[in-house]
Amino acid sequence: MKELYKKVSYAVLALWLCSSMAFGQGRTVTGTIVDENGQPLPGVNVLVKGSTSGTVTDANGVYSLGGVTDNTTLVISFIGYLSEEIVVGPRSVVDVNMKPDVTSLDEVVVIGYGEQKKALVTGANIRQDGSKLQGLNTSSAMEALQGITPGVSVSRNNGQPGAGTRIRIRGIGTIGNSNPLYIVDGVPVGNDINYLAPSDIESIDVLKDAASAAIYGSRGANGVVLVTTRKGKKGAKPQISYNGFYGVQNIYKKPAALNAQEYMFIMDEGLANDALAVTDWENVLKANHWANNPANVGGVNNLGTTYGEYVWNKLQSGWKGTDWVDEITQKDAPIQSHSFNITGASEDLIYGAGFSYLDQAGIIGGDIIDAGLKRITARLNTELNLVEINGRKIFKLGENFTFTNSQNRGTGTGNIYWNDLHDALVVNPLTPAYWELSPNEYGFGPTLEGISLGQTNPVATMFYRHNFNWGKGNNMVGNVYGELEPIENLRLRSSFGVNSWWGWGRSFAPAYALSSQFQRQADARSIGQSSYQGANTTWTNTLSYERTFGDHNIAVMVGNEQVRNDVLNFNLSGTRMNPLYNDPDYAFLDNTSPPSSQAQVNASGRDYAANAGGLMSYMGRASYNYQEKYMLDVTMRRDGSGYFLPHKRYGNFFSVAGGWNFTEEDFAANLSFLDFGKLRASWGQNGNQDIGAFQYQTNVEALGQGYYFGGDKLTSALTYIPRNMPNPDVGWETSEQINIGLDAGLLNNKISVTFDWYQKLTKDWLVQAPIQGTAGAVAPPINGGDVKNSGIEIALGWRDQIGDFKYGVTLTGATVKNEVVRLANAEGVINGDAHILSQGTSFVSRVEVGKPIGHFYGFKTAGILQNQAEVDAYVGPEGLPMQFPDGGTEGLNAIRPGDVRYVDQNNDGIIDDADKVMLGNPIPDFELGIQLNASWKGIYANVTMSGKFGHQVMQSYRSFSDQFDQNYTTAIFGRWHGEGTSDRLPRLSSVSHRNQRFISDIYMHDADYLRINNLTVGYDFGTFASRLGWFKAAQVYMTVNNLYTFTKYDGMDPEVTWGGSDNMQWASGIDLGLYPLPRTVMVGVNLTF
Amino acid sequence: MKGIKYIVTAMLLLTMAGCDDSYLDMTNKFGSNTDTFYKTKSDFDAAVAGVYNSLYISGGSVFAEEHITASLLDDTMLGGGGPDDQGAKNVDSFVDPSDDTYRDLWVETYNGIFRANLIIEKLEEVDLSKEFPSEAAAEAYKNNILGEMYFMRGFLLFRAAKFFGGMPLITSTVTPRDLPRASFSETFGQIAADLKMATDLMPRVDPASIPLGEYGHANLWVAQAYLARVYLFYTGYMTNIEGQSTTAFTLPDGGTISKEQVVSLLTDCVNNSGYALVSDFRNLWPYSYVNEAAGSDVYPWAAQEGLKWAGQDGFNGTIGTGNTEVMFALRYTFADWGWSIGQRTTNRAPLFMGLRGNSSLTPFGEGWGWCTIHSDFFSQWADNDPRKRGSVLQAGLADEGMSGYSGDKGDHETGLFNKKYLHLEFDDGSGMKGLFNYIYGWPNTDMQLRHAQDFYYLRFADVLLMLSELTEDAQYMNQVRARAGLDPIAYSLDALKRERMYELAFEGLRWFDLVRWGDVNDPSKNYFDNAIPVGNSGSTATYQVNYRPETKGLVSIPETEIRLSNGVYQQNPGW
Repeated sequence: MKELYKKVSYAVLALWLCSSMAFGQGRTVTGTIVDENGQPLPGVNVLVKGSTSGTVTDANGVYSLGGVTDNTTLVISFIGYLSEEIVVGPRSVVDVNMKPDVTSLDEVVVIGYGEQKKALVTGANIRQDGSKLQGLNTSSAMEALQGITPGVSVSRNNGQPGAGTRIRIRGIGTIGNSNPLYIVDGVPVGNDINYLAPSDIESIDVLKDAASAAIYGSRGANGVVLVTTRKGKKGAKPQISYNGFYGVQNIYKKPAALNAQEYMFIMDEGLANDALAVTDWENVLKANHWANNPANVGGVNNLGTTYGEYVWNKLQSGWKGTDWVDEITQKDAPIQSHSFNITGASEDLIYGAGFSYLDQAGIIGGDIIDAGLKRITARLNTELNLVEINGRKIFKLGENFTFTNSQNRGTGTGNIYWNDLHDALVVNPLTPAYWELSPNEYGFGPTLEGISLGQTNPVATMFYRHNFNWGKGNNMVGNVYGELEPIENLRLRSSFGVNSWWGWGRSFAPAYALSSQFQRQADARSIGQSSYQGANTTWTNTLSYERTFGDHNIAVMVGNEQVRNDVLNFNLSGTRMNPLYNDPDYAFLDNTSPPSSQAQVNASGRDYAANAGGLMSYMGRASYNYQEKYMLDVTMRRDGSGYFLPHKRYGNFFSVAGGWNFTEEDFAANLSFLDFGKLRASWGQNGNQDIGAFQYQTNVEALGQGYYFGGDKLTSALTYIPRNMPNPDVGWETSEQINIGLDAGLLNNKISVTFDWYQKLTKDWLVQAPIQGTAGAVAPPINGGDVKNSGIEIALGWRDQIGDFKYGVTLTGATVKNEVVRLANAEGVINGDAHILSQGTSFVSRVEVGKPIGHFYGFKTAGILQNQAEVDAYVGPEGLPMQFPDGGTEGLNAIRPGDVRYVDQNNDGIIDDADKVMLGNPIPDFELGIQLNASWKGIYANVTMSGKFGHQVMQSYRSFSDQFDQNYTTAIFGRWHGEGTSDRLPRLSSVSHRNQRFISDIYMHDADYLRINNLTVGYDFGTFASRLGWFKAAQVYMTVNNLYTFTKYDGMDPEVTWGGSDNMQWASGIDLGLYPLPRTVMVGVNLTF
Repeated sequence: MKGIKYIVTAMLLLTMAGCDDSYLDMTNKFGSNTDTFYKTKSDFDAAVAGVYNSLYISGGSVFAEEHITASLLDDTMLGGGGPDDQGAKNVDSFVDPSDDTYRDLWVETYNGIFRANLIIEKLEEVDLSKEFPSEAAAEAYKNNILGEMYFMRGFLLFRAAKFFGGMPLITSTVTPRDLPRASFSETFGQIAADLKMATDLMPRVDPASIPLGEYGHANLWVAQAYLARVYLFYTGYMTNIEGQSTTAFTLPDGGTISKEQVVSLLTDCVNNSGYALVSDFRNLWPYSYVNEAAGSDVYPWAAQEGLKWAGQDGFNGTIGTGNTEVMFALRYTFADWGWSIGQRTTNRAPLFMGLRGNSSLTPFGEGWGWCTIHSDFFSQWADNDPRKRGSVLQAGLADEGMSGYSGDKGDHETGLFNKKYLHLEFDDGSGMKGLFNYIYGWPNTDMQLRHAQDFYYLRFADVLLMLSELTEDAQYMNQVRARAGLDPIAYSLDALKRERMYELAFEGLRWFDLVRWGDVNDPSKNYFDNAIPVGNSGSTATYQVNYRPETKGLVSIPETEIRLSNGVYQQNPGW
């Protein structure tokens, strides 16, 4: 059989050779081949049609080909570009301007454990080219995906450097970990790829549908992101490129807190509304008891009164108070990035190396605490042909490794107690940021205790929280692989991957004192040091074979993969009191006095891998196509997880997918407008096991703080408790997804269309559903619910050329509908944490059957009671005044004009918990992406926009239920203060009133938005660059990131992923003063040598 | 062709090379499980500490702290707090617009019971004789722990049932958890059976011989006294609230415990336990130690009265003169926001009941101003009773350091505070710190985290008063009066009630006394409905503490638990 095949091949070859020989010896033709931007394309194939003679372009895009006659047709082809056939004619120079192939039919995309021609793909995948992502100049690659990948919801967690993104592929299917699986060069790497510089990335392939992700079985339920790092292309000459940019970042939309005069006015209005005496501000400012005590402030008498007089006098002379947001933000915070890449290939070696440096200052705290991210990456990828027999390379060896070193000092971006921006919004504007006579060594203005003991100077708070912490982290991710091909197209590949991380931290807690409640005494100073390291490994073995039998093409793959956690993990940390040197530079544990009590030492150490565990997987895939017209893919994966007992350990995941390239059919020949069309349909299963270890048994664990028998109040007795209720039957969560899609190219591929519809049902949802208190320990995860996500995704592209003017438009859109279908406990409800919007308030987010995960829950309101007549008409069904059990209706709680009209949903005349309903949904109904690009000669421009629609945000910039002295934003000017002044915001009050205290839709805002993420204009020097000789290509550009956001949302940013608590990954849309995205203006240069 | 077959087979085998999945069998290196733990004496000691750990309410709601909620519910203390503390005012006013005000108490009860049940069951399986010199010593150890566990199970169920009424009875680890609530009588029968079992199992220990390191465990005498406390509550409730005159417990096995049995056990406690009143009532409370800790008279009144703290570590404590009176206490300590249970190991009563918004009144520190004291109750208290000033801190008193007090910071402000549990702080020259920071050398001076003051569950004075009440014999009550320097009086129930009200004020007992006596329903016997002037953050108003008789003295069952039970639990009347 094999012999016959060989013979036929030789015969065909011989025939081709003869035919080209027939035309005899011709002349030589040369030319330069450039891309759509006029940039030379190296490595382009130039073939004589109907022959085997040909060549490739050199690094300057230049080729030279002998044996050509006037009748010769040149076939010029390059991956990603439309092949051109050109009759040479009498010319001796044939330059070609290649057009990108919109549908990229020959493009090869990365699929699980392999590659596939894009034309043959049956699932819903998205591929993004690394150079395109790099062109968007974001500090992380995932940010760049925003707005260009339908069905992949990309949200930036906040604007802090290194804050990362939140990726949700086709909705949220679980209340646990909803992050996709990230695989970099075959190695699973955890919950993000922030360790990679965008310049390291060759491509990102997102597997959205279950059939595509099914080959990853257990971990594919939230989608899979496959990242390929850069490497040379076969036959390409060495290419060195540099991309650098420098920019400045500024706060884009500053929230306006009230100034001093406005603050005092609004505070007094609340008092006046409650018939209380307004504030005697002069006395309040001077009532600084702590600072008046000479013992506290270095022996100065009455410093507190002096301080109050200073502030009072400043106000008399027209001072508007401190603008805290201004104080903590840095103007023109710099960002710079430099990256070098070397790629190339020789006969037996393909290589790629990269180095990058990013230094991004934080717009908050950048100049006060040196906040920002510094990241260095270094990467080396090589592939070597080691053994060659009979001209066939039968053994390859390769490696990909990326090293990252990063240093990130952040500011607080959490709940109301750990959020520096929130502090800046709520602290009164009367406190000076700095004061000459301040007892503080840095001159921070002390707390004005007469206003509130708790309102400490936000600049000082930020400084003492963050300025004395240092940390560095390192990652090394990569793999080594060998590939054996003993028989043509039969490949055995074995890859050993490692994902490792290590780093250290150091901290110094200095003494300081700015008020009675904001101080650390000298004997409470401490030093901390910590270090960590860890790694896990992935060993993958696959065997693949592909073969063509006439019109039938098959490809099969089987494999085995082991992910082991038990490799190396180590965490150590310690703190000790009594530093020997009052200097942060000397903050090392050994520089402390010997401890005199146990309370002065704290140490912990743990090996997070000591429990062993991991995953054992078997996978297989068979792909078949007939004439590349009908495609069928079947995959199967069997996964074993250490999280389950043997009887539930293994889960099987199947998928089947089909495709039909209908434009290959005869009838399509008449449809001249249609260049390409494919229908796809798939069904598949994915799993999820992410529940943590040992949930199948009742674990008995030691408590850090046990019970304190005996006279020692510093150390508890050794105390063990049964930690959880067991669930020995806990097993795999499975999500099933149907996908139907269409790809088409029309009008000479000017128009491209991709359409997908999907429905994803997560079954046996792993959820820690609340159980009855009588259980005696916390609930175990159960396979206890179903969640449904469904939606459509569309990508429409248009590109055309008018003379030298080329332009293109891409529109993407995606809808998601999320619904909890089943929750297997009697209540059918999971409530979020309380005290989110303000201390003393109820929960905001909720999971409930029939509703979207994490919807907002509270009281509906029907405007404000405008006058006494409306108050009198606000009655229950019996005509009696509405009742409010929470707080009653006596005294200051009496119903009066300016109060919120809460809706009595059950019409019982009482407003209580029974009247709470779903108010809104933080999950957008629709996400839109728009990309525009145009070029004229060397000038080019790109715009990327993204938008989200139909979602809501819960906003609270102050702790309204307990801290009445906290400042407001100017939004409070829209309050009710007389009939007709507002129908949304109630009157002010000096006490905790239900108007504010109840979680209601007065805090909820529609947050539809469309953002111009990126605008780039640049100039490409084209062939002019290469004429200069020492570099081949050059571009200069200017980019603005986060240029403008079209929105009616009045907060800093309508993109809010924060859910109010780190415990609730399923919640989102809680805006407590989120670190805003900066607007960045930068200039950059790309050079290729 | 054959060669290909071999190659393919060989490669397939290679592909599946490392298919040993034994690494998936995980071992927990940072914990044990119910099969591997409970094997040695130290396992059991640590597990016992785990049962006591449920005295801290890990859920965190302050309304799950019995002494705070009972104080809010009773008639002598108001809601107070700041304008945001609507929860305190709601509890005080006997309304509950939230679903789950008391859920943490409900849940923590069963956490402790589950832990105790595990120990009871595991003790039966285990052989500890190798760890003891003799079989008998091992048996004695087991019996003591068993007794302690029965006590704790009864104690925890009582802690919850006196608020909720009937509770589901989970008496073993395999008891179905979806049982309905038992009746009030069944629940108290179970509590009584557990406490009785504890008195049968535990040895007659001399409290003076308890080493300091083991102080804090319950013992036989505590179990005897709690049986009497439970008896008084149960029979009083049935008689005066339910109107079903009752004088005995009906046990789960059908047996009974009569009043005579209870009296006999309590008499044993009074006569033989070795506990005794400390010489001065005021020496029970930490304010009596401030000057000694500071090394100077930062609290002139305490110096002038010659107070010397008895300490809070039992007979053999090294801090204070030794405390012979406190029989059982919640052993509080410090806390840290970084801990998984945050603030819950520190006594929140001194913090929540501290002076709101006043930070410079050494030795009294700031707090949230909850549970301010009813001014009628205060004014009717005879000034010659030293317990009055020993229990109540009065604003404006110069010798208390209260002259600079500003009363416009909190609500329900009466200028009267619970001195027994109050935030104490001073500056000895090294900075302003809490009293307990100095005593124990704890470095974190956060004013919310430094209240290492035990909460006294049971004092010998209460035992004496209970015995008087049960026997209608004034001699025990008169011991308590004598300690306060008051003359003996003849026994009457009213006199006994008054004595309890003053002796045990603000100790979380008054509310349950009112309920069991039926005095909640009689305005002449309580301070409910006595409208008094209060300050509400600067404005003046009148306020009255509320009670609603239709609730029968019980609080609401957590709505979430009712829903999770699929409606099997019935809500209490009036809620």
